[in-house]
Amino acid sequence: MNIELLFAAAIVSATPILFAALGQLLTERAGVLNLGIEGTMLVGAVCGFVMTFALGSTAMGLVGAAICGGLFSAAFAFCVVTLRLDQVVTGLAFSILGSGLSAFVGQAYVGKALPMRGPADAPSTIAGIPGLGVIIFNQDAMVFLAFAIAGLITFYLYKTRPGLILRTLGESPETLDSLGITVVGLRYAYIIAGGALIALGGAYLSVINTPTWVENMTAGRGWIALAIVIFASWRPGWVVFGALLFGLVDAYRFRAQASGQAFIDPHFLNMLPYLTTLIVLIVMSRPGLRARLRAPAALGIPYDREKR
Amino acid sequence: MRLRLEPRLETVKPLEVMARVAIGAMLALVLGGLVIALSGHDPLTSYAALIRGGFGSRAAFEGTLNKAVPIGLCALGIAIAARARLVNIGAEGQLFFGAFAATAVGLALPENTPSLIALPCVIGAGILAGAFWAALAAILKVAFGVNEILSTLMLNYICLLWVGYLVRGPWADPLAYSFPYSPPILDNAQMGPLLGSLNGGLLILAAAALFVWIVDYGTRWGYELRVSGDAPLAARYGGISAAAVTLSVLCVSGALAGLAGAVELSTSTGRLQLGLSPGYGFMAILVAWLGGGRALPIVLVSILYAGLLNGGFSLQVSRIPSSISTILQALLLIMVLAGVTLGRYRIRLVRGAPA
Repeated sequence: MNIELLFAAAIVSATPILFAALGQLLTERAGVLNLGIEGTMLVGAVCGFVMTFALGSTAMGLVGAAICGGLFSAAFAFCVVTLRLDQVVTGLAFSILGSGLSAFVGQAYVGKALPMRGPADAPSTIAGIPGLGVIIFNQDAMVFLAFAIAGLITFYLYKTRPGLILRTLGESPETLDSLGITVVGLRYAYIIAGGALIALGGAYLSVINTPTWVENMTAGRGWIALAIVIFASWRPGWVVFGALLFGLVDAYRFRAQASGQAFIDPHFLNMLPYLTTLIVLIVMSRPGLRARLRAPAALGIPYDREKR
Repeated sequence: MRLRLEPRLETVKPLEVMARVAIGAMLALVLGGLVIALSGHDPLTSYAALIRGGFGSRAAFEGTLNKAVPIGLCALGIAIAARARLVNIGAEGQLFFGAFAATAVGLALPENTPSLIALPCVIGAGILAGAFWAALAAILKVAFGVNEILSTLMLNYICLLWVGYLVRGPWADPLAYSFPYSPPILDNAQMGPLLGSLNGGLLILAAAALFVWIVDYGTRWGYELRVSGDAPLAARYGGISAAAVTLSVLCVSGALAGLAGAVELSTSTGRLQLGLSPGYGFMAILVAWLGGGRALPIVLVSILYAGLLNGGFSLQVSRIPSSISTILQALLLIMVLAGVTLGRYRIRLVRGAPA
């Protein structure tokens, strides 16, 4: 197996997960658990595909997917922030809703191909450079965008004042409220921004990676992104690492299967991402680590200023 | 103008809760109707077809009751785990692992084993295997502190792939052509219909509901579950071991889902296949919640839910996309959740800036 191609494929596999995990990170840092992540990815995937199909532009399709994901998450935000509904049940309901809506919208597009080739298929001139050339330079723009956003979020979270406010939003919203900062508005903003990123992850799959629309095509990637955020203990740098680790496992599985070099049945190879997630969760949940890697204190708790 | 929620001081009466659930369901139906209209069909005829398909005839209703059994069993398991504030979203995997073990026993027993022995063996294997699959998540939680939501979820995917491997590989029925089925389990381990097309599963569901009711109101364990869920510190002070509670309750929760898998195998499919459950374990999460976690309401809600599912199939016949039924499920859940939660608040429209 070609190691360079394996790493290149790992980065491609990691990208949708990275988008979704970064979106979830923003949301959870704001103190909200969005279990609708799988559904939001599917909404992004179908909207991205349909819009790219209709508008004939990959960029417009991706922007459209982000907007649709933002709108879908705004509805979720209305339920959990304004109406203060239970975040776990509401999130699961939104995952089902997203799965149903995307199947409904996408049924006319099953089996259709996009009018243009995705950037991933485009021939590249730098690809000839050995080593890093294949791994890094032969990627599409969305891959770079994903990693750039990870860097931006790191900077934003730890080096800027709004980032400090975001961290406080998930730890102690009442402090912000007492300083005259509106908790509700900020939570809306981060849920919507997070939803847009999650949807981009879905759209990456349907518009660039495959590029086709298949019902429930995210195949549990949203849940893996969710696990990665926990494993990364809500830190963007570790989210990148987690996504790459997953990408590597996924790329290995896929290539082993395709090249016929697999020593074991594909069903077992397909278990790898889930087993990896479990093992990573076990490693990261060790008591010593756990004490340092705390979840945002206000995660999952609706903000009610009367209980301040 | 902004929405403001103020807590209500008086307690909400049961009648009002029921009214709120009904209003929520109506709203969901109206929204779902809009989606159906968007797809170019008539909402009223669709709903009529949905209800007819679920409850409209004796055969339809019996089919609904049969489908309610696996949903209800899983939901009871999820509800009992929720007593200890544990979220088990792995019922689907536990169901399939139960069905897997039940099939293993059902294929291994000699063909002339009497029903009286074969049936309990198959069902018992399902119960044990379901408990085992849930116990994995419990052990991960107790030993390493792994969040059970994530571990049970990952175990679902692993179990489905395992079953997929078996029915396409070592257990593939040579007589089933290319269908991914195992061979049928022995006849004496299959429960035929009892009354019309109604099978014995309903009795098992009733027994399981009674079991949960007894656990709640008549056992020390049921009390310990709730204390360790609602007041973990008080539980520790009272000498209740959190580890023992987690382990025991997840085992029971998984056992009920495994039972569902074995019952479904024995009453309906007769062989292991991926179509054994169209997501009963996931639907059960919603049913457990909608039933308020209590035994009798869960049984009733699972019947309603099974009706929706059954009716969904008749929708497909009338060429309305089946995703409508999925959308309807989600809308129902959100609206009913909103209706019940908002019952605790008074909603006000306030002018101007927040106070």
